[in-house]
Amino acid sequence: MSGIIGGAGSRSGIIGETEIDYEEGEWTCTPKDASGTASSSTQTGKYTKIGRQVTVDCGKSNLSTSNLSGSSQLRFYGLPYPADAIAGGHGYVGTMAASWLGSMTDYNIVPIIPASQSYFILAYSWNGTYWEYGNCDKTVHNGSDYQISITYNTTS
Amino acid sequence: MANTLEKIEVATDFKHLQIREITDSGGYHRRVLTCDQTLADDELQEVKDKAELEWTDEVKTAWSTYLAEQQAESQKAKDESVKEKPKEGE
Repeated sequence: MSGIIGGAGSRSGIIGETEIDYEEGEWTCTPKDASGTASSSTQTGKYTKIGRQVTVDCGKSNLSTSNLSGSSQLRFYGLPYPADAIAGGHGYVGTMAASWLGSMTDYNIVPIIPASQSYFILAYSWNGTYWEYGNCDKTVHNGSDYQISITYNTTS
Repeated sequence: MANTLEKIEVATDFKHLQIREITDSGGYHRRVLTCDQTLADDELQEVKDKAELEWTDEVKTAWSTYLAEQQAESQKAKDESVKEKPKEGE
């Protein structure tokens, strides 16, 4: 199947016989702790939505989390669409490059969007046995640099 | 200049508010609000009104229950993973 999704600024298009929404724009990534306290390190990211599939990217140098609760889960709010449900339970997994990490420097850290949520968290495999989620004083933390990209499905 | 509100969509069974705004450069900016979030004092009145309309106690309870179930499932998967996986060298 092939088709055309317009040109720049197009809002929808046809692939085969199916009309598909197309949209691109910006979102604002805001790190928060689990109680909702926000970091001042907001960053504008880009998104592209084709049908139900959304790809987001965002990056920040010298992240500030100094006002967040260190023992609280670090969440990055502001995604442009909520994630749909996903088999497997954990959520949609993306890729991340980061430097100046906290205590979890030896672990492979990935961004995950939990089902139905509009934020992503950072997950790593603890000693290869189970997923653990990064707190504000671990993984990416105060002073870190990061760049993420995640593709996920939304509900419509 | 602040973004201009273009539309508010209601998504998922939990009545997430899916907001699309127009930026100064004419592009789109999007964000999502869930019913467990506290709206900022300077949030747009249209958004506040929509939240007031959609985020009933029933919706908030359903969302809260869903989150608790998600948390329980995640913990269960973690516990089972720790129990079942052999330690290094076994």
